[in-house]
Amino acid sequence: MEYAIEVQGLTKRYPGFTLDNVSFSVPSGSIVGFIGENGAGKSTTIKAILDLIHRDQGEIRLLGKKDGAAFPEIKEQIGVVFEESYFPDNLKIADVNGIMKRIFQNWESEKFFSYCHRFELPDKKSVKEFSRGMKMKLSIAVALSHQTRLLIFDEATSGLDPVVRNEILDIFQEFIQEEEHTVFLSSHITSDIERISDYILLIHRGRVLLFENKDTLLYEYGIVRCTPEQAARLEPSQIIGTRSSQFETEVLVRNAGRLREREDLVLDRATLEEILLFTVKDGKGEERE
Amino acid sequence: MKGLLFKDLCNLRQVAKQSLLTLAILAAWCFFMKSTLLFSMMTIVYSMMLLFTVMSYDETACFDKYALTLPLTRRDLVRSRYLLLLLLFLAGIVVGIAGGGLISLLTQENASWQEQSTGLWEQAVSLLAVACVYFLAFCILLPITFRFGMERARLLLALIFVAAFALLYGVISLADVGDAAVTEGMVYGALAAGAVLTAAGFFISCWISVRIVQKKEW
Repeated sequence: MEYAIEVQGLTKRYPGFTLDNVSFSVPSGSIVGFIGENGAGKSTTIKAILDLIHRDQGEIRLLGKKDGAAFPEIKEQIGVVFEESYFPDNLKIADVNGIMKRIFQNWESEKFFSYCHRFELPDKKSVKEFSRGMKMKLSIAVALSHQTRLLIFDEATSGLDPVVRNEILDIFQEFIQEEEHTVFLSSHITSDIERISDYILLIHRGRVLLFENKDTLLYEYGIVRCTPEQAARLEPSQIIGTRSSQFETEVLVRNAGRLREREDLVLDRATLEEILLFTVKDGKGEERE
Repeated sequence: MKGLLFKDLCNLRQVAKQSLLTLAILAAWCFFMKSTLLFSMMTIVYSMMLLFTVMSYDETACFDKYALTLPLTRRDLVRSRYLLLLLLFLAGIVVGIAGGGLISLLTQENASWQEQSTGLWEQAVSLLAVACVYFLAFCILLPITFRFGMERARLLLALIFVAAFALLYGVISLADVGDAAVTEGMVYGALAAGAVLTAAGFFISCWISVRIVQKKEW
């Protein structure tokens, strides 16, 4: 299998936070959703991948090239969108095109303008007059207009309304139609990730808690709704996390298939949000690959 | 790097009208004051100051972080700034000398052509000397800007400019006090030494800035 991103033993230490021995591989042709609560290490991981910060340990390969982000020829094939738009306020769409065609060898002006038209971006206005959604769409248009093979999104859909987010997710799915295209999407909006991702990477307090195929994950994990006594009788190795209220006890379990035959238990499908909440709350997830 | 320069020009377009207006007001003032050297000097300094305008726009937008995700290196980021400084410096000199010359010609109507051209030559030499000192000041300031950002660098900017002015004033005063006979050879020697020093300062500053940016994290 070919990998678009390979991270091995990535460690970055800050006072009060350590990105600790993070390892994962993003298969080419897939959408990987990168989830975790605020401050879990998502942005730090992405910055390390993009060589925006210096790692203390570990190895990173981008599109097969070691330390790929240090090489312009690799970055030619990568489109990056951050949470904020970083274009100076007084630029207009034509200026952005003029800048990018002088930076990217494979810049496709027609494609860029076609995305701008599709996103209904006003060509007479400057960036400072754009709404947040428009700014993100402009960044996405740039990211998609240079024969991009790998898209990296760092919280790019946060703060956008559902309509715009939906449009952006549709574009990801169009982009991924090409076999060699890959999307690495960090977000804490788990519903978006659940909708489009092939793989889920969960990070918590700087450590990878799980990296799993989404369908396997959603099939393997389940929520058992039961009494506290029933919960106490469950196999401890199956339990990821527990949440109790005065009416019932909810237990997130792995290998949920083993409990499907139990008539005394109510077993529901676990959503990604529940998996995130239970895992992060109890921190019982194991590093898996 | 061409893309970065193009982006800088797009940013400068924003201040083009106010820059032209500023130069027009300055030219009118210098015309009535009959001070061509002041016009030329101010034009050069103003032109180089535009570098900080561009850097402020980028810093506000965090453009450098984004630029590093494009097919550009950290070295490209630094080099484009120095190239822009050089271009603004040269543009300032051209506009400063041309404008100063024009003001000089208009304000010395009764002087002979030979007197006018001698005056222009002396002013050009003085201007270049002062311009080199200010160019060096910018070369000192740029690594500080890369290290600490525009806001803190702005405070140092005033300090460095005052120091540059004090240096120039000190040298002139010393020459006056010493009552040394300044020969043409000495002037050319000082100009050559100044040019070498300025060029060396430019490259050393660029080298230091590259080192700073290579260690920087976004």
